[in-house]
Amino acid sequence: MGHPELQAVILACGDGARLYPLTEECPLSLLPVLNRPILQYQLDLLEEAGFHRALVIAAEETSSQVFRFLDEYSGALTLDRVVTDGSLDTADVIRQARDKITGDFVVVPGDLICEKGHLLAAMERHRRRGAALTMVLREEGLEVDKKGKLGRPRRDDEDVDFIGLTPDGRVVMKAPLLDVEEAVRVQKALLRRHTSVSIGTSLMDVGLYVLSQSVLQHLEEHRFIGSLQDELAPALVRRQFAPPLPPAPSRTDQARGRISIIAPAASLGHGAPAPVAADYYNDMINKLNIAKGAPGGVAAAGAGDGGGGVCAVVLRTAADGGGYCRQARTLAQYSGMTKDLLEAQLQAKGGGRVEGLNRKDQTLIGEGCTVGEKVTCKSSVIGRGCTIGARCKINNCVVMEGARIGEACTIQNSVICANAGVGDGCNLNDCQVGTLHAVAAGTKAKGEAFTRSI
Amino acid sequence: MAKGKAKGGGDEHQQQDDQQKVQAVLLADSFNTNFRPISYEMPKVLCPLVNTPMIDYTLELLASNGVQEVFVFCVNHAQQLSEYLSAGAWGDGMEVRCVTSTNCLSAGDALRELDQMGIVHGDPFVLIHGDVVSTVDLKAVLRAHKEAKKKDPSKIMTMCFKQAGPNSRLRPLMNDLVVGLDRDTQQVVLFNNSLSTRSASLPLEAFKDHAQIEFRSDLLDCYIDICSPEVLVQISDNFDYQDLRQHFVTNEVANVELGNKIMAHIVGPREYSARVEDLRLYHAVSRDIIRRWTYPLVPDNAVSSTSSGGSGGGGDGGSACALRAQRGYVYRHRGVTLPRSVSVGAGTVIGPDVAVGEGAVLSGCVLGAGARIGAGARVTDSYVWEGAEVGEGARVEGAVLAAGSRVGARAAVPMGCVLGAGVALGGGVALPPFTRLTCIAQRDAGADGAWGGAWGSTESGGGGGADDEAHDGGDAAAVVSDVAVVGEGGRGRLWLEAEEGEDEGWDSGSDGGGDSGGGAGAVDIGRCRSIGCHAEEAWRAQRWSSFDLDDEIAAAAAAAGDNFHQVIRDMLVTGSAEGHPIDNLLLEIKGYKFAQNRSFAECIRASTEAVLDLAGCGKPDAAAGMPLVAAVREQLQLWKTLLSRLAQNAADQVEVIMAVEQYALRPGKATPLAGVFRFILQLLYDTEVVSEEGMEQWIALRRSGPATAPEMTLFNAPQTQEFIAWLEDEEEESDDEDEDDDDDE
Repeated sequence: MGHPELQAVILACGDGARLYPLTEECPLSLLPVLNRPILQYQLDLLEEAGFHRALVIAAEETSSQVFRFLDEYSGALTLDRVVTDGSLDTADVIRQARDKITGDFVVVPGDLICEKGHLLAAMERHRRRGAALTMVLREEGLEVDKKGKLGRPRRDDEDVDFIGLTPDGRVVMKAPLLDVEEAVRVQKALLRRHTSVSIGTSLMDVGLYVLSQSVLQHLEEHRFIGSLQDELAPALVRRQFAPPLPPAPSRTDQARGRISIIAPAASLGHGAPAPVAADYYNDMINKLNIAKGAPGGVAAAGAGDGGGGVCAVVLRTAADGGGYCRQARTLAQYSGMTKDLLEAQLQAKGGGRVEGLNRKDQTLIGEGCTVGEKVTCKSSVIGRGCTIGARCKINNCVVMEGARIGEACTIQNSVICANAGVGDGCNLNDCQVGTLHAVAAGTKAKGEAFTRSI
Repeated sequence: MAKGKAKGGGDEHQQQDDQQKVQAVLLADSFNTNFRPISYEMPKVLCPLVNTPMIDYTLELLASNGVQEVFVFCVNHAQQLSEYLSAGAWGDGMEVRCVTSTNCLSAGDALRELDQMGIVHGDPFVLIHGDVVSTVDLKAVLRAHKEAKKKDPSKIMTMCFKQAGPNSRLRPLMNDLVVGLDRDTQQVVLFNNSLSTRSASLPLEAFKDHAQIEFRSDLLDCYIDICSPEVLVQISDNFDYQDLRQHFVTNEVANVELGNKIMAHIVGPREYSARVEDLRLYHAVSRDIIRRWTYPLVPDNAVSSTSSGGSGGGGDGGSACALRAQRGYVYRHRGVTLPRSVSVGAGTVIGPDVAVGEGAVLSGCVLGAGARIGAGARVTDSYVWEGAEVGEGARVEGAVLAAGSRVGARAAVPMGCVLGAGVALGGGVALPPFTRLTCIAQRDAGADGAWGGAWGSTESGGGGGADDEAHDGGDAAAVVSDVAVVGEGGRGRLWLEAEEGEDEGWDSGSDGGGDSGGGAGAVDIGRCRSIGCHAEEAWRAQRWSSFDLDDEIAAAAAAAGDNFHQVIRDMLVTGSAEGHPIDNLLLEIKGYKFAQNRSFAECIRASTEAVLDLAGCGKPDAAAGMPLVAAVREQLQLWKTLLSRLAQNAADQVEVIMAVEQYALRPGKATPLAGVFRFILQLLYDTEVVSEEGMEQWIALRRSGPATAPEMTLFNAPQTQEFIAWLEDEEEESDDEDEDDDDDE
């Protein structure tokens, strides 16, 4: 069983700037989690979800690395490749890949590890509701933090959205926290149609979207939309309340379409725009509408609930059997992801799936590692071919492949990137050591990032 | 860790609880004017609701939930009420005590008074209005509140809500309740019952403490509150709290700093709860009682059987159980026989000693003890209280006839009418709908000489704003009958809705205007509170059917890119006002272009539009013809450097012309610009904003484009063609002429 009507797009082009210095040399998609690149998880996800093909979009700068990885891919998916400019935002990337997208499609962000259940649920809802966009939302559960306090995990303000959801899973509000001034307003017009709307910041948009093809049209129309999560999704959500457009295609569209014939250079920016299928676009907008301006709007809204609009699948906490679904946007989230998956592996029955798993120490040690005497390693992941000197203490760390750690080092809560070196007797806490960088022997540091450029 | 301690404390509490009586405060006054003029004549809570005084339903609820002591707080008609209460005995040893005060004008005053008396110390106690009909399991709510309070002492109150759609009949028309609840804890974080605001808003901080807040418009306030004594303290501390909802709840919920929490309890789907706030709800609740939604509070179940009537106003007490339920929700007193020719429709209650004449038609009405219906009369959806009479052939449809009132033969009493006690309507009089009549003399009659004269004149002295007590002796002596209204042989006068500033929310609502779907002005407040206000109900259903233009649409417009143009325009306006150099402006525009991820073409369009705006082309009263051209020329002179630097190549210059075209052809906004399009072209050419090449490209574009495009109307205009011909000649001759725009017309 496949999904002939759905295409899969993996955005392996993000620069992962917020994961610096981990992403200094390594593209975000290839960052290892339990010694497997994130991209591998994503390909597995699509395969398990029944896809036959996937479109992998890589950035120009890192495409060689990504494609080298794809060359070695041995799974069942047929992979299409697209290269884009690495500085482009997500929506721009989709716009560029637009020729390769011929139907409704699934967008998998480059930093997401997710189990197939969520994706299947989202696809199912998207189909049933005929939505323009279906997003996967993760409910942030209460967790015990380092200080033993019960609370929701901290997120950067830029990652926080106000999301309004009706009980039947319709998204009626999506506004980035930073865009909301002073107060959250809910129109009574909305509360007339949906008598109960739950609004809050505990839902997290993980960026896994199922999108209708018509959205491509919207992107074409609104070329200034740069980000799928921060601009397109809020715009589509708001669009639900706008009055329907007049049936005739708008003048701007025609003008724009025409000018491209005469003087392609005129529309600077993102290449020559394609002619606009305005009818399709308007059709989508009208389908999206839940606010018909005409009297009797309430009834119309009721009927409109079935078709179009923005829907969501909400994942409750993992305890609800939701399975895993997280993004690694920040260093903390990356470490958290490693930790979560490590724990999941440890708890998994049989445990034999991953070689080198040491239950007692809760540590995964890759192939070909040389580990010295009296090394204690706890809650850590050591990549392939690493060398760890004698009497080292490694706690809660990620050591990527080929790294060399000298003797008698104490390393905690840190990430050592591929082929990096740490001299003898170092004491590192909350540090990141960039690819190929060598930390001098005897260094003591806390909360520092070591990169080649320093 | 504190478990043991808490447990010990709990035991202590338990003991205290055992000793403590379960108390309730029942507010007998509603502190509003909805029941006037009836509430002038008798306490509102003694009005019969399906032949049982309203307060009996409330007391029954309290008694059946183990309340041991009830303080009935009354202001008006206190004497009458306390007599009624002292005559009754309530089951399970519930003690009913009357607390009277004559100077309270609001519920806030009443609770402050109670606080001072220091008689309420139940923790928690029930705070309820005397007009609540409910089957809620209060015991459970009391228990839950006690538990919650023990864990968190700041939870001082639990409000009961019932789920009901926004257009439910049980929802008062005069408020529009939106409740915000913390999804996890059911704490009330927003309480907004204002009719006038288009939206409910909550400050950002609220979302820090509450992960998910449910905004709900499907909750109905039951007016049953479980309170801890702190509530009384709060109300005493804030002497300006008048209304419990509008002031107390709204403020306490919003003032996070004070730290008091109000919780919500949503009653189960099988529990009934409603408040008889006005006559419209009186009708709705009566119907529910008759249709047994309120079981066990139903007509044949003798709600107030323990209160042996007689001395009080009700009078039907013991005999209520003699009602027999028949098919189609018809209840008939056992002792009543009806002539065969009487037609009894669904939902009719016929009390004791009722006499109905031949051929009468009864449907959906309640006839109180001793009511008389004449032969051939038609009484539908109406309430005929004790001893009222309807004459032969009269029609009463959707009205309330208070005790002892009389409708003459063949008179017509349509929808929403109210006849106060003792009012008599002469034979053949047809009242207009929603008329309220009373026998009580008008207060301050002298102040406004023509009272009762002209329909629609306002009552001059509104008074204190409560269910005012009739002034002494307002009985026979002072009554002046207005024959023009009540007809020959009639008694009573027109009661006019006092336009008091009570319903502030409402008033500001009508001032605020802008309500699409039926302006507020079309709605009569009095009608909203009356039976049969279908138009108003329809109006409510239509309310808020469209989204706010100022807000969401603006946001959608912003999403569609219009905001960009606005910003560019503002840049130009402020730039020209403050005399910024063009270079800086250009930089600013370019910066904004990049920030917004726009193309140059869009910047050009926006700037062109801005220039035209500045020239006043967009104003509806813009001058046509040459003055407009002059204005545009003036602006173009100012801005030509900016435009020509933005539009450097021919393709960009085409954008400028297209922006002008679009501006002239804006849908729905006919601008005089279309008439002078040719001159604008010339201006652009003369000021060298658009070069020859640009013109050529534009001409080629239009010539190659579809002939049906709207722009072609501009292009094909004879004047434009003239200009184009001139332009092409010009090119051939490659002459350089500095001509002004007024050479040919």
